[in-house]
Amino acid sequence: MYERIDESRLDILREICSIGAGHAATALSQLTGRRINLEVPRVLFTKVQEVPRIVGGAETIVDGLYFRILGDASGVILMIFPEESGREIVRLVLGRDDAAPEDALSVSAMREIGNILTSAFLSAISQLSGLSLIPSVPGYARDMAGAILDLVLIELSRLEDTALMIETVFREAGEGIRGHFFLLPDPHTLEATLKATERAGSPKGPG
Amino acid sequence: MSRISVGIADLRTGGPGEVLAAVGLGSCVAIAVHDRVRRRGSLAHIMLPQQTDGRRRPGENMWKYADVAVREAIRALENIGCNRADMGARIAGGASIFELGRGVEGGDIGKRNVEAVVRALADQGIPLLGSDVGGREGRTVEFSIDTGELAVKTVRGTRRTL
Repeated sequence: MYERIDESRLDILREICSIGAGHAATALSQLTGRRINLEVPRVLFTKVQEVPRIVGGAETIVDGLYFRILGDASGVILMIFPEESGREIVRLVLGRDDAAPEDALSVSAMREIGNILTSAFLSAISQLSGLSLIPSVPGYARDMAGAILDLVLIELSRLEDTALMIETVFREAGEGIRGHFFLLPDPHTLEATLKATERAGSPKGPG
Repeated sequence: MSRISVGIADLRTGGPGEVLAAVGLGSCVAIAVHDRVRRRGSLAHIMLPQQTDGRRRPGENMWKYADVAVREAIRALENIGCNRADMGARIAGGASIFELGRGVEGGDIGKRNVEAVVRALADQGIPLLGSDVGGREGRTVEFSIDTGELAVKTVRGTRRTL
C-alpha cells in the first residue's frame, strides 16, 4: 500500500514533518527553558518486529504519549522519552525537584506537555495543507518500550507487516533532554494529505 | 542455560535447559505450550485475535494471529515427537497500556487477544494451567522448558510464576 510513494512525495512528507516538529520543538524549548534542537526527520519503512530497537530495545523504560489524529486525515502520533528525559522535562516544567515520577501532578504535566507539542505539530501541518487536524485526548504511560509500542504496531499490522513512520529526534545540546517523535500516517489518508499540501503550495515549491 | 528471545509475531520451540523469553508485552499475549513428559515447549508472541477479512496477503506473517499461533505452537511440538495429551498452556499479557477513553478503536485489543487465545486453546483441547493477563502494565515473560513454568515480571517489580 505504501510502495506507490515516490521519492518526491517522501521529500514532501519529510518537509511537512520537519516544519511540524520545528513548531513542537519551539514549544518544548519555551516550556522547559532549554534549547532543544531537531534532527532531520527520517522516513522509516521498518518490519514491525524491528521497531522497539529504534527506541533502545523492548525492555527500556520510557515515557510514552499516544495521540490519534482526528479531522481531515487520520494517523497516530507517538512521543517517546527515555525515562530520565521524561523526568527532567516534568521537573523543568513544574519547577520543582520533589515531584515523584508517577504522582498525579507529574502524570498530568506529562499529558499536558504532550498536548502542547502535538497541537503545535498539527497546527503547523494544518496551515501548510489547509486540512483540519486535531489531536485526540492523550494516552500516557511509563512502561517498557515494547509495551508502549504494542498498540501502534498492532494497528499497523492489521494492514501491513511493514510500518511507515517518520521519526524526528529532539535533543538538547547537553543531552539532558531527548525524545523521539513519531508520525504514523494512515495509508488511506496519506495521499490526500500530500495532495492537499501540494495544492496549497508545497514548502519546497511546486512538486 | 540459554535464553532465546521471541519477538513480536514470532514463535520458537525449545528443549531441556532452554528458556524462551518475550520482552515488553503490552496488549500482545505470550502463549507458552509445554509437554511435561518430553520437556519440550513452544512460545508464541501474538498481537491480534484473528484475521478479520480471511484473506491472506502475500508474504504475510500469520504467527501474529492468536488462532494460527496456537495451532502452530502445538504442531511444532508434535513435529518433534510431543503428544497433545501431555501438553498444557500458560499465558501472560493482554494489558491495556493507554487509557484511550470509550469508543476509541483498539482500546480493548488486549482483552480481545486474551479471549481469542483462551478460545483457541479450548478448541485444540489444551488445558490452560495458568494466566496473568489484563491490567495496565507491560510484562516480560521467561518460559523455562525444564519446569514448564512461566515467570512474569513488570517494570514496577511485580514478579509471578505461573
